[in-house]
Amino acid sequence: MLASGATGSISGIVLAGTGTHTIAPGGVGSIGSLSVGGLTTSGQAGNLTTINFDLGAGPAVSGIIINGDLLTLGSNGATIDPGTFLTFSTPTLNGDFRLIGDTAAAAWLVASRWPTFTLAVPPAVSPGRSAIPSIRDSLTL
Amino acid sequence: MEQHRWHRTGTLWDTAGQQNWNNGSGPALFNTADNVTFNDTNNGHYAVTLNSTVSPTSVTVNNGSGDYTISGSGAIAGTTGLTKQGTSALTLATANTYTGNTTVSAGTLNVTGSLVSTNVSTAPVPR
Repeated sequence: MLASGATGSISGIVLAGTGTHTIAPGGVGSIGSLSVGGLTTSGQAGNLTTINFDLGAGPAVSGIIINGDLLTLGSNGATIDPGTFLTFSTPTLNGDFRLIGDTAAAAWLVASRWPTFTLAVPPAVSPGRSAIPSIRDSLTL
Repeated sequence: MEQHRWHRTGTLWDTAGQQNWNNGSGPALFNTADNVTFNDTNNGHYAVTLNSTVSPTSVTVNNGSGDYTISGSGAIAGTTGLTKQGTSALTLATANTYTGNTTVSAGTLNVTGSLVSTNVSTAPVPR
């Protein structure tokens, strides 16, 4: 598992390799922010990537709940392989939760189809939407 | 270069004079370009204080009985990589600048500091 504490920063690219693995900003069960230069996940059986997000409890800022886990992308962006698992803590509020943001104009988020979710709520891509200065929202739930 | 295993009697990983390593023959100093290993044969000492910049050839953390923390004002630098093995955790709280690959083969890597120049894979990337 790759995790962070309250904050962690990896300027390089995080690559899914062999074996099942979890990427957890803040660690599983704790809120935190992990910045990566880029991210490539795997949805392949045996090499499955799970990204775990602990959701914030609000209140919402500009309609978005932003005090949960945050994965921030650098200029290499992210490629989410179909079948990648996203797991979440149980939300205490209904609303939009910022999960993935970016700080670079060149950042991008690619998924040929959206990953498998443990909640039935589909994600929405909202590039350019910004709840706080300097971080644009790439993916909200 | 030598093979060094963390075998703490003091607190610091440094280049000055702390013989907190074992080179297979006995207590040893860390020298630049050593291959270093952190495992569970460490007298139960999993906290590593790093207040200087060190440049090993390789860093392997293979722990299953306790969680390692490397913290302090120093850094791991140079062309080394870092491999995390074993079921327990490693917390990197330092601002590291090494340029080799970081591989998490088992257990947990907690990055609470920074990894500036390394790519991270969760296990060896399939070829």
